[in-house]
Amino acid sequence: MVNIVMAARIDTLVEIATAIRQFLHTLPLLDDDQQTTYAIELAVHEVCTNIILHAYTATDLGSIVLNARFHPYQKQLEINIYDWGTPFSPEHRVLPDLEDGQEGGYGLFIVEQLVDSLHYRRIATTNHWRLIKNIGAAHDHSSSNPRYPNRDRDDS
Amino acid sequence: MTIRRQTHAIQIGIVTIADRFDIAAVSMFRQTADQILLQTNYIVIDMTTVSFFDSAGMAALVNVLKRVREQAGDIRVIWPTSEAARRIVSLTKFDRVFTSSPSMESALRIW
Repeated sequence: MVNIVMAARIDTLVEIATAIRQFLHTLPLLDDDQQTTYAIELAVHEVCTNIILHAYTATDLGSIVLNARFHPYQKQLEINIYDWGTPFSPEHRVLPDLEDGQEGGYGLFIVEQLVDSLHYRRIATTNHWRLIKNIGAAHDHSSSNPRYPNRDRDDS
Repeated sequence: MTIRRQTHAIQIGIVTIADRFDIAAVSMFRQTADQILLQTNYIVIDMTTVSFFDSAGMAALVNVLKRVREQAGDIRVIWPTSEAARRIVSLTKFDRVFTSSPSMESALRIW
C-alpha cells in the first residue's frame, strides 16, 4: 500500500508518478509489464492534472491525497485520489473529437480507456476519484467503457 | 520552344521532443512552436524518444496542427518508439489525425 500527500502543483506530478511506479514495482504481477505500469501511471497523472487545473485555481492551491493498494485475491489494484477543490461537473465535460482532433477533452477519456473502472463522487467538501485496474487481465477498454465516469453524489 | 526552369525551396522547422511530453513541458513546446511558425508553416515533430505522453501534450500538438493548416502548411509527426506511449497515440486515434512518418529521413523526403 502507498499513501501520498502532495501539493496540487504541476511540478509535483513527477513525484506522484515516481511513487506510483515504485509501488507498482513491488507487485510481482507487474514486474515486467511495462504497458500496464505505464497505463496506471498515466491514469493517475491525468486525474491529478485534472484536479490541479480544474478543481483548484492559481490562487487556491490545495492538496491531493492518494492511496493505492493491491487486493491479491481479486488481483485488483485500487487507487483512491482525494482533493478539496471545486466539484467535478460531468455536464461541463468536453469529449474529444477523435476524428479531427481538438485542443482538450482527452484527459478523462484516456483514463477511461486505461482502467477497468473510474468512479467520481463528492462527499461534503471532498472530491473522491476511485480507479480500479484488474492486473493480469489487461485489455483495451475503448469499446466497453461508458462515455462518462460513474458519478455518485453524497452531500450528506 | 522556351523552357524555363525554377526551383522552390521549402523551409522546414524541426521540433525534437525527448523524455516526457506532458503538461510540465507544454509551455516550452509552445514557445518553440511559436518561434518556428514565424519562419515556416512546414513542421516535423520528432517524438522518437518520448517515453511519456499525456493529454496536455496532445492538446499542444493539435494546437500546432490547426495553426499550420490555417496557413496552408503541413505537419509530419514521428511517433514514439516506446510501445506504451504509442498505445496512447492509437487509443486517441492521433495516428489518423496526424500524418506520420517512420523516420526523419522519410519525413523530409515528402516535401
